[in-house]
Amino acid sequence: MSKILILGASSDIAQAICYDYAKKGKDLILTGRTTEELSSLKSDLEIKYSISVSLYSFDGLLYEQHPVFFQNCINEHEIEGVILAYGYLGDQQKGQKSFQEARKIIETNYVSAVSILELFASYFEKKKQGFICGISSVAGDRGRQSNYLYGSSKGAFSLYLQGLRNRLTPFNVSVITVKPGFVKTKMTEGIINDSFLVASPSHVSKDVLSAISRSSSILYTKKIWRYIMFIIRLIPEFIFKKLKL
Amino acid sequence: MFKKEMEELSGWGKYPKEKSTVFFPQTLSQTKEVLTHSFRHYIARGNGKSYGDAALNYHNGILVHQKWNHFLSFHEQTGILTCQSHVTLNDIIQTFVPKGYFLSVTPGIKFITLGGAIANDVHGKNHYIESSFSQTVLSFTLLVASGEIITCSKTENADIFWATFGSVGLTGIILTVTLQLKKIETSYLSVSYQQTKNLSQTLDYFEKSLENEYAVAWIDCLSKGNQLGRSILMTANHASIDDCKKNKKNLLSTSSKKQKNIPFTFPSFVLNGLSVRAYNELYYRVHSFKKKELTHYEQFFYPLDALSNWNRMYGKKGFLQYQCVLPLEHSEEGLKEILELLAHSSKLPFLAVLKRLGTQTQSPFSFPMEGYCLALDLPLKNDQIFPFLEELDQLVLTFKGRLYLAKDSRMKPDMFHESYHEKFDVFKQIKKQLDPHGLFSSSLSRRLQIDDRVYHKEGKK
Repeated sequence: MSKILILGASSDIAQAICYDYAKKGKDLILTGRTTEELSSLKSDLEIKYSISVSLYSFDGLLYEQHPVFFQNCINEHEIEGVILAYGYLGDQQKGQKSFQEARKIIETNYVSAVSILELFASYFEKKKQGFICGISSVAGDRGRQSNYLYGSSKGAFSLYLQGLRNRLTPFNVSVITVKPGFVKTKMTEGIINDSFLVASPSHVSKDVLSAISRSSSILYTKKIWRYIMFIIRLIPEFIFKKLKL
Repeated sequence: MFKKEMEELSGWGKYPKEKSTVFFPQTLSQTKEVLTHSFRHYIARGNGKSYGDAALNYHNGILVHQKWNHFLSFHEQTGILTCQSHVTLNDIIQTFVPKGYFLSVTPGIKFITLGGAIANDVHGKNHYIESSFSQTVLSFTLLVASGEIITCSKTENADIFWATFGSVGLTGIILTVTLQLKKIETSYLSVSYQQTKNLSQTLDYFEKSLENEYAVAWIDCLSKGNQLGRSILMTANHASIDDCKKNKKNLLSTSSKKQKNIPFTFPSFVLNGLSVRAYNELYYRVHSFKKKELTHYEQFFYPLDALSNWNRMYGKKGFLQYQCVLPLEHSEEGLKEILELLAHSSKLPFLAVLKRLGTQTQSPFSFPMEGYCLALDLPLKNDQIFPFLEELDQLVLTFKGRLYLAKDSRMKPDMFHESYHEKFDVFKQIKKQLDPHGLFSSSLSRRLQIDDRVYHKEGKK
């Protein structure tokens, strides 16, 4: 049976996606930096939904290991689609002072994605079916002083997915860019509070599953972010550059 | 890791409310890090369904392990389940009822965690057969004050195993739990109703009903005189496939009904003398017509869970649950005096429930003992309720009974130490050995001077 590969399964959004697919009886392949952190998630999904879950350790920043990981995956499983769900918010202030932090943000969110997704892109292209779904961010839609390191890496990721979509559409492979707005997750704990703009991980997950099944191109979640970002992108740069955002 | 300062944290009864610092560790190493952090005392909190201050820690730290909610293993043939301690009874029911398993012991709220179920040694409407939650647990792992993780069962670290049941989190933090589920054929129970005229008839019928798997009585505590203690006694047994064949299609269904929410806190005048009186009268009358019916487990075990936030019914100030047990030999006499005191006061309980408990276990602070247990929900309208409950305490002491810590928020330390004195020394010895500096301590344990008497003063005998 065909399976779904979720890269970065320890994030809150990824876990919500795992449960939603499991409820549909879909088998899953999950990755984390260590498989240990995912072992209780695996047993929980298997017991609750009688599906099979395979675990792999995968570190986005260890590029040289990506081809081996990819080979193992396609040798051992029939893969229907890939969801790239990991990301690194990092610390903007720290990143401004230390290139090491800036580099970690850029490499995790963008460089590593290119390294691994290119492999799957060629694989799906050859098979003439499959999907690639990337969890990007609304932060990538316009650069702001408060988080432009994260924002630019996600912006690059979004552009990358856009190009990939253009390349793969003729081959019946859909590429979905997910742009969550505020989400209450581990990454944002203590930073954002509940409001009508804030989505729960399970809200995001429902939207992602429906976008994948409809082969949508770009998903904003919650939906209101499409309009918010539309307006934000419309603000002329000579005004925007003076705003404290 | 996420940390939150709560201005007004409370238990399920919404009284007392205390300023507290709550930590949400994701991993074991984060938990260990918190424990060596800034506070002197910590207590683990599950889903916050203890009524009083058992999971509060004024000026100290509270740990909530929301992420420890995974099943770890399940053996289909034996029904043995291992899970992390933040798994709730509801999680278990939702997954395992369709597979033909149920909890052999369940209290009336299913949104409690396994950690909480052990810490309070919860019991159900079948205590006289199945005993308390300790009987369903085969083993658990416990993080103790030294940072060590120990496995406890009836054969391994048995003294700590028993001491942990009912000792409201004071032995450490429960990490994983292995428990035995019970086979069921259907998710229905066949329930019989009997109306009784007074207390002695209630107890008489109760004693004759003990061959049933479950028994519970709702007492009309507004009745007086020769009707004092009139009740509706419900007895139930798990329905077999044959019992259900005719009228139920999905024999192992979990509840399909969506939980309804009480959207706001009722003003406290809603539950007044008149409405409670009307409700009690109506309940007694309606059920007097019923004889026998097939009931889904949801309605039988968790009637109140159909409403999330049902504690909002009792108004902003919250409510108190007074739950006591009296030994069998004093039950009738004691219940009579308690019900008389209630009937003649203006402290109307909204709900009064009577259960028959079986023999007590060896856990020092476990609540159940052989006898009758009475639970009263009392809206907290003003402070007059407290002296009244102290009067009840005196009655309970006179009849050698005790109160349930999971429900308590106001008992005086002397009451606790007098009623639980028998095995206090057992607990004291284990606590001193496991936690010599009192790392695990809560608002409840300090209110009841459990810590004081473990470490400093000698307990009153």
